[in-house]
Amino acid sequence: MITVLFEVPYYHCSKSIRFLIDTGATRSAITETEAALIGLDCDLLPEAKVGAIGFGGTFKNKVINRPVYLTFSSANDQTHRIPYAQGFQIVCIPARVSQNELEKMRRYTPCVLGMDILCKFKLYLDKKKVVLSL
Amino acid sequence: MKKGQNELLKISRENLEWYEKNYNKIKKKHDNQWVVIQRQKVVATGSTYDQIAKHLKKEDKKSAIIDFIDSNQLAMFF
Repeated sequence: MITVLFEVPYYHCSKSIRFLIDTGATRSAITETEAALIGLDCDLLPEAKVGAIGFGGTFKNKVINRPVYLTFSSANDQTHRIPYAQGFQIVCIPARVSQNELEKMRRYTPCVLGMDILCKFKLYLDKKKVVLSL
Repeated sequence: MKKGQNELLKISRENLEWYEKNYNKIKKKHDNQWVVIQRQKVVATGSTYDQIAKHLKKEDKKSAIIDFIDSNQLAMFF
């Protein structure tokens, strides 16, 4: 997991978010739970034009229709701010799931950093460590 | 980057480092619970997300680690 500062200046919101580094994901996404903590109202955001599929099945995601910035900090306290023009995805829990299912999805669905962002870095796997470098 | 944002990122990293370092101890005490880690301590626990969400402060929403502790090892496939 990696902690990244996630900002949406248009909506005046920012939050540090833990992301799972997922080289198997084509797109990055945050969960609806994290979006709510940031202060984003998913009901007001548009649906993603492209569908999403994972082992949980297919999802109708929402998108943040404004620029997003992700700030990574390095071991020597340097920061790297990466702009994400538009369309950052939010994984939405399907409507009408039971309370139990909702709780389970909140527990086990991570925010993911996919290849759309990881491709901007050199990525090294070193035993128990993952290193991202520009 | 603005000073406040730099500070936010620094606090979050400290929370995460403390959480990772103390994970086994926290797991023993709070297994099968949601935990909120802030200022390098556990500030809230609950058995469901809704329980802890009610008690989250504005500061916690921005920089705290909010995680579910599950000692049952799950294989994750994404």
